[in-house]
Amino acid sequence: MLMDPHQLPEQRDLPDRRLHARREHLLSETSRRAERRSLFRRPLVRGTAVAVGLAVVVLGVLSLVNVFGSNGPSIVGKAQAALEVPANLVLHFKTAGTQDNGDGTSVSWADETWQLGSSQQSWRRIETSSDVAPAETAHTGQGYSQVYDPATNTIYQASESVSQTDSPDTFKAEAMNLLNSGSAKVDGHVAVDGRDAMRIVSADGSLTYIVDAKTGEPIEWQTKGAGGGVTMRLTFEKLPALSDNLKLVDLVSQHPGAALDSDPQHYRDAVARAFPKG
Amino acid sequence: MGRSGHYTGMNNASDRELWDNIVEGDTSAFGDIFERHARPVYNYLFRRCGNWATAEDLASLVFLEAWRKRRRISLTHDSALPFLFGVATNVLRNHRRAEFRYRSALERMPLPQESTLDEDELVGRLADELKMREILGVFSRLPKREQDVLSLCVWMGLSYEEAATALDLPVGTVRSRLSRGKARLRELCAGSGHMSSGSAKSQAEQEGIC
Repeated sequence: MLMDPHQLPEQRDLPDRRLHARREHLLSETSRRAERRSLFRRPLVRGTAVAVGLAVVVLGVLSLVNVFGSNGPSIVGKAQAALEVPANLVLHFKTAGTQDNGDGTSVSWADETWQLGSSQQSWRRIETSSDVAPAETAHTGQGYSQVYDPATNTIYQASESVSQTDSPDTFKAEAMNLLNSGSAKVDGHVAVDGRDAMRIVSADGSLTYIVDAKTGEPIEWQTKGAGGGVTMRLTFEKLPALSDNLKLVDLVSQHPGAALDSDPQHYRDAVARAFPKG
Repeated sequence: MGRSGHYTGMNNASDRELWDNIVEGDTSAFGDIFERHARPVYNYLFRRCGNWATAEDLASLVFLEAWRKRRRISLTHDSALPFLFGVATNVLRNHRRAEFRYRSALERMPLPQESTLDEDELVGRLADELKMREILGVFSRLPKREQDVLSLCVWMGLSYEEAATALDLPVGTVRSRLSRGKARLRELCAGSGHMSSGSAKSQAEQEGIC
């Protein structure tokens, strides 16, 4: 007999209270994401958010000067400041991730994003996984999501959201959580590709954030669990908003000969082709 | 409730109709999809990982991932389940990446701390885990791609077409992987190098591993 499903443990229900809690959490998280996206589509809110962001940066810099005086900020302070990106700069964010599954196998991926300032709205991204072709997507300040199909040399666009994978904002939120936790420990110097770096480790040891010892810029993010972990090498480069750099954010500028197709269904089909594994 | 996608509970809409609303951002429709399919997803995850608590956590990741990907798919079957099984298979393979992506979301999840299970249920679940661990001890020797097809088609009862949708493979590839996987599993169980003793093999057969 070969794996008779009737011989497997019987299927069970999630306990009622836990099912209810999971459902409520799911609804809360999905609503939260939907609201955040809708809010940021409003120009006034977007402008306010940028202004508040700038104020936070200014206040943050002032407070660091006050707190740390002539000795300068601690490495945690530098790491916090390094994550702030003024709205008039272009952030170039690269991640090269490897997941160790703990069973001798691993999965790797690489994402590269160019984002206008700290805006969540204007960005271009190339996502590469080990077993599928790279996918190039973008979001414009006008509210369009775009995907480029090299097979047809066409940019498909629609006023819908396309991708939130490992974005600079996701990473920044995680890193800030660690740095602001108050319990992260500075765990000495390490050399990474010849750079003098410092390790910042969460209280439970599950997160390690390696930053440049001098500037606090991100170099590596590690998470580890019982049977494996993820290591992400990071490049967090801030570029002046010059014409050439602004083109890096813009999918049309990257593919000047490409046709532009604004049919929403064509856009969805192109996204499905670009991300065959969802 | 069957796997047809026509649920007769709180909402009579089909999975396809619900999914059209989900694409537009309807979170309550997504809640309905969760209620319909949380159980099979949870059990599929348990059969792949062998631990009920882990399966429960992974199930949350699967639905968060499904929400993120909602615009990227159009349902090709009446039921959303093949798609959800596909997401679950990817989450099993990439769960640490998914955990990173949703770390903040998971930290916001308030769950009942006290045990909500009676003693019989607890004992039953522990027995399940022991049995599943033994099964997976054999099963995990197969290539991952064959594990995926076997577990969906044999353990969860998906048709070839549904498994092809879940794994984004041609139907012919599902058939050939299933056939190869079954043959390889037979060899694993029968091979002298696999079971250390006749009694162990006999026990495994008795417990339905082979």
